[in-house]
Amino acid sequence: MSDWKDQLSKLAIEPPADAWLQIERKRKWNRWTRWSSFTLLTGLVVYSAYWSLFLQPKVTTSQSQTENYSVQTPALSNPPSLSSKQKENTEILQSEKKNLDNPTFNLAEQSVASAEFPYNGRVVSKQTESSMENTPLTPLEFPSDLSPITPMTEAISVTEDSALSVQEGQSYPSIIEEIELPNVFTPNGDGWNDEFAPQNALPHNYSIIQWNLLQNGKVIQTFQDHSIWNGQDAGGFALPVGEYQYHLQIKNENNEFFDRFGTIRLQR
Amino acid sequence: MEDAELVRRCLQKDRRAEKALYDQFSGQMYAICFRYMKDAQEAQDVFQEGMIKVYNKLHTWKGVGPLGGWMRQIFIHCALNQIKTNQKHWSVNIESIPPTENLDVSILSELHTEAILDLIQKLPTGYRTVFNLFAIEGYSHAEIATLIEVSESTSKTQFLKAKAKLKSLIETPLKLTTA
Repeated sequence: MSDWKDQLSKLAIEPPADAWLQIERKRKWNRWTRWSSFTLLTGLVVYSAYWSLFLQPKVTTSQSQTENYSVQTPALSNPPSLSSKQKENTEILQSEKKNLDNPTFNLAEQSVASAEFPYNGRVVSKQTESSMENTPLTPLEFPSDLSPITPMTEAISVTEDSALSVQEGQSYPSIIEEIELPNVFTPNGDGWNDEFAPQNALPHNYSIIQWNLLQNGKVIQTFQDHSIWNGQDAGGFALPVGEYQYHLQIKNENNEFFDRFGTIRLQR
Repeated sequence: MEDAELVRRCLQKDRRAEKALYDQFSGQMYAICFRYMKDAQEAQDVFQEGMIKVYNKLHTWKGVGPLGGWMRQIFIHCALNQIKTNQKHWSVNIESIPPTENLDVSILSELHTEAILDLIQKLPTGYRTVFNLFAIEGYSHAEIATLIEVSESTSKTQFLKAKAKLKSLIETPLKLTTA
């Protein structure tokens, strides 16, 4: 190595006087940032582990709140021909179906909508009380075939996946069927068959919620328990002779609700 | 104090040993930084970074060779990193490659060391870096190519241009004097 290279490689220049202090300060800063990062990271890990073990909220779901209130009808292979009254009811149903676009109607609307389906045994549903408290419900799905049906012998059960299914051959809950409801009554004051009401007593674990009187698919009066209908409207005026519908609703001690629909002929 | 003892005490967080290490090598290391960087401010930044890296990496010194040589490598790499950061690309002006004339810079031997350092600092960054690495540190062009991530021919070209530039810088004041 020539002299100038040797001299250059061995050359020493005194650094600025505060260089050592600056180096010390920067080393302290680096140590502090390393320590604080480590502490912060450790704290986060410990806290997240503690949170996941002890503080994480437990999410529970209630099956009863997921059950839907919907209307099902059995499909008939050979529907009989429609009578004039049934055709009229069919038209009412079709108009109601158009009005059911709003998916968030409450129980009262639901009951009316169900009650306006005036065929015997047409609607059978089971509903828990918790889901009846103004919870948003799915819109009713009315059947595409609006043929009249005979009193049904099928029951609808609520399965775990909230789907309603018709189990053919399974009998409708017998309690509600055992309630005596005549299909004709004559409120003419002769002492015979002057009143219409659910007659016989229910078992202790069943009770009548209410029953509705319908005319042409519209609820015209609502009665509690075993209240009677004497052939008058809510204003005390005698109703005309003709066919009316009723909707009876009972519940058992498990808060399972059962509905029964039927027709009653008013004669004088 | 011998290098090994100094390092051992530094690793035990002995502040007096750390200061002794600084006092022993700071002059040489600062000169290296000064040689590679274009001004005192940049040299000071690289020196600070290099010293911190030396303290942090002291445990990796295996005691093979002098401690000064090991520290020298660290400071050179710090300087090169800083140059790479400052200068994204090594500019190579092909048209300005000097003719193959005698580019002997032995005239540098006649100059004072501080004057040589001043001349080297006046070189453009690319020239200065390659000149330092090849002429003073003794790296080969292949090694320089790897270190500064250029081709070997670029390194050679930069060195030739550095010598030509140095020669012109040396001769200019002489011409002015003789005129």
